[in-house]
Amino acid sequence: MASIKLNNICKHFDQVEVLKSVNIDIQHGEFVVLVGPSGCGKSTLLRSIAGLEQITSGDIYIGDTRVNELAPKDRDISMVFQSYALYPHMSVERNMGFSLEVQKVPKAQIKKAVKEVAESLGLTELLDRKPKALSGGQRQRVAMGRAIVRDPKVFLFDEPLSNLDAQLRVHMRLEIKALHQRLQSTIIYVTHDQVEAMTLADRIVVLNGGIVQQVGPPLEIYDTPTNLFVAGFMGSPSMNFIKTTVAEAGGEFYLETQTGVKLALLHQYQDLAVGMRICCGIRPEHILILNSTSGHLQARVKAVEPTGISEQIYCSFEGADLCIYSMQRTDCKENQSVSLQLDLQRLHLFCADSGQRLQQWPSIAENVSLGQASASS
Amino acid sequence: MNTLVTQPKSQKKIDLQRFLEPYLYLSPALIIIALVIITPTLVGISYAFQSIELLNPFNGGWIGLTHFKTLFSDRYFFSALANTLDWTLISLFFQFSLGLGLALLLNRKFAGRKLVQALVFLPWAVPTFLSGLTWAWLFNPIIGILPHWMTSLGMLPEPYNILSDPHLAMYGPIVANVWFGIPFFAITLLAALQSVPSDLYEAAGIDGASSWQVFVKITLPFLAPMIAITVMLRTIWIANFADLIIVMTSGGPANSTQTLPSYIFTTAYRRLDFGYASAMAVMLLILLLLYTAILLKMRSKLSNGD
Amino acid sequence: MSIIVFTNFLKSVAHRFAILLYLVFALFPLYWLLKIAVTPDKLLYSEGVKLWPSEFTWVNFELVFTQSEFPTFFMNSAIVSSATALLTTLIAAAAGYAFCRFKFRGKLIITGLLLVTQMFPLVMVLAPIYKIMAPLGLTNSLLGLVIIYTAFNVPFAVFLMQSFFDGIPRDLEESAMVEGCSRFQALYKVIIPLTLPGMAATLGFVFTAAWSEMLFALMLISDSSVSTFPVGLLNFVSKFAVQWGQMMAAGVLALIPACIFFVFIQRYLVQGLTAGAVKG
Repeated sequence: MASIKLNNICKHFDQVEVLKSVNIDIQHGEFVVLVGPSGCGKSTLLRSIAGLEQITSGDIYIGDTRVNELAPKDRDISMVFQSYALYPHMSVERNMGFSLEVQKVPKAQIKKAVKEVAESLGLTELLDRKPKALSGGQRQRVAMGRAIVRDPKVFLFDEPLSNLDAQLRVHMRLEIKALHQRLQSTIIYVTHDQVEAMTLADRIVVLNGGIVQQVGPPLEIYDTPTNLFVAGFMGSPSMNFIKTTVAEAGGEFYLETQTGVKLALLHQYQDLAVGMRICCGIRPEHILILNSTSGHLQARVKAVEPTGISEQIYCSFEGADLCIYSMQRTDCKENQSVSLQLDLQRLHLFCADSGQRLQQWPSIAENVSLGQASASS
Repeated sequence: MNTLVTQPKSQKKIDLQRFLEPYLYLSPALIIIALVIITPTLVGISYAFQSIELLNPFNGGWIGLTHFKTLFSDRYFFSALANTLDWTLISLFFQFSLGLGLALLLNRKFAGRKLVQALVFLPWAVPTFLSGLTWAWLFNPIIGILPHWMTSLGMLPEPYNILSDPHLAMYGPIVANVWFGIPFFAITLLAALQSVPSDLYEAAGIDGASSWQVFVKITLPFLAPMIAITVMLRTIWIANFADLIIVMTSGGPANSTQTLPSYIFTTAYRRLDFGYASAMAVMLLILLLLYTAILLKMRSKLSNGD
Repeated sequence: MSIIVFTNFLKSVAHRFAILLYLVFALFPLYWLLKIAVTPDKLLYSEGVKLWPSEFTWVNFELVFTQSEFPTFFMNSAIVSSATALLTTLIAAAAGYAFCRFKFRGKLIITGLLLVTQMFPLVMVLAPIYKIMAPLGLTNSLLGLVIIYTAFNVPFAVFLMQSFFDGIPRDLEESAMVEGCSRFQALYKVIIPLTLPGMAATLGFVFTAAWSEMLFALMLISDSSVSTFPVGLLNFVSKFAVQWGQMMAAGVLALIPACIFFVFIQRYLVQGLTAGAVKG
């Protein structure tokens, strides 16, 4: 096991810049998920770490070794491919032992290693089969087993669950998590599915357009997305955005929507100025549908999607869609007018021009406690 | 854990390796093609301007355009050119239309299709010299049955060998060529037919199109690109193809079946006049290049017109 | 309703009949070859027009095997064709792999070059090749034929092999490389075993092509001890044009390897010809 350090990784395909100065430090034993929409460069980054792609500039360290010039085989990594890449002409056993076979490890030792891993993954029964005779989930597990047998410094996963059906995906997600806890190995995992990212990662790296947007623990990214892209990408259903302008009354800033609806600001923000255009974000679970008309805004219901456990209500407000996530069943009907109450504590403010999050000043309560702390010291 | 077998090489060396690797894999193919096809071609072109007769070794040297002058007054050359045209166009027409017919027949489920397909494509696997001999024998009234059938049908006054009749001889190799060439068109067109999405047919069926309409409006447009490229390549191939003629008639009787390639072969092989043979080969090459150029030009004009 | 059933019935009868016509056209010449080969000489003229002779004999085949040079021709052809097939497949596999897995400068030009060789008039190089080969001692030599056949079969075989390599997911190779293989190890441990059917098909194609090649053989070979089948058979025809039964028997024998390979490669015909037609 080892740490990984990516310094200023850049990659061009002909004229196109796929990765733009990527910097990431990954700790020993950490589970890091690279997430982003398709074409964001996450797979290219992973393949560069594996040595399957040449980077244009920058340095890649695995442990203390700079591996830029090392062939994939010398980087001591394992990779699980989206297609699993099981060798069709070899049995499960040979597939799993292949890396050891190439290293000319004695046969008996290979057999022993494969047997151990197969037992831990419940593959013992399947060892004599060819990949063709396996189900999707079994193939996935063999691919993981093959990676484990090698006992590498780093595991790389390239969208390993995207070919499975939804139920199996949840199941394998749990297995991968358990695997990480058992092996305590360094894992880099690529996915476009933000639920996988949230559930698996110690830390998430959000990529878009070859640029790292945000790095942090899952909940930190969910709670304080650093820009409009991350805010919109992480979370399902995704965050709602309302176009507003900053106004002031009696020394207090507030937000005003296009039709003049006023939203009070409960926090102090840096760099706020009157007339500034703000994209105001609010997560679907932070909107309530009220029976009265006393909510912050009035909207018209466009569609209701019951999922059994919850309900998603889509409303139209100022020509844009608002999604409300409700754990209660609301009995809303299409075209009905509803009054919406926003949890103003949890507004996310983004500068409409730069897309960047407006940082809050530490709240007064925190200031006080800080002051006390410094006073007592 | 940290046992690295290979020493890290310098980036430059790796880049060079990466650059050279594909050429390494390609080199055997490129070398043999350069030595056995390209070089002799260039040499052949130079022969066209030299006198090289193996039977007349002292009569050598550069002679400029003499061969080409001879060629323009060689009446056999022009008759061979006309024969090449006949041979190519007639063969191509029947190969293509019968091949398309066969492909359409096979593009339909019926019991024993696989077996039928294997058998009906068999002529393609028959070595050309053997196809030539077989058909030559079939046209021979002593051991072949065709002259007798043709007489019964009233096509011939009496059973004789059409290969020795200057007026009819060309049809012998053409029939053999059609027989040999149908499978090629049938196979390529069948492959193209099978790639027509079936929902297109279903939609047309729902819209109430007749099978002729379906063929003209859906199948043909879908096949058009494949047809264009196979017909073009096949034309060149047939025009160059001399084996059947050499085996069946050797260009006779009275040069009535001599095509340009067979004439070139005979000139090189029988008369050992390599210079004149090469000059004619250069002419043939020029004509084929012209044909290709005109066709490609037409195609780009058509696609620009769209 | 019954009218529809009836027209459908008529249609399918017409369909079968048309197929039958094609089958007869395709197979009759070969059938005739076989028929003459098993007809005793004495019946040849009296029953020349009958569809099946009243007596049947293997004697023509026996004569071909024991009294003629055909076994030598057969061996020569087999040697030349097998050697050509092996050599071509090896060379084409390497080149096809390069085309499939690498981006490199000049790819388009080399593809174009291979294409052009496909439409080249063969007769163009007959004379120069003879002139070049003669001083090297490669006329009247099986080796000379193998070299020429290999060169002329490589372009098509490259396209064929490339299409087989294209069918193998790149992931497999990359996975092998991550797991400790060099590119070359990945090639022979993972890719080659998976391309074996494709290689077999290429072998079959090239074997058949070499088996039936005639012009170069006629041009370069005059000594009957190194004659291939076409040369031997054509010489036989021009010298002993009356021993019909034996010639046909020899013809049937020449047909056998081609037919065997045909059955073998049938499955890949569509793939191969499509690749060849589209790319070459």
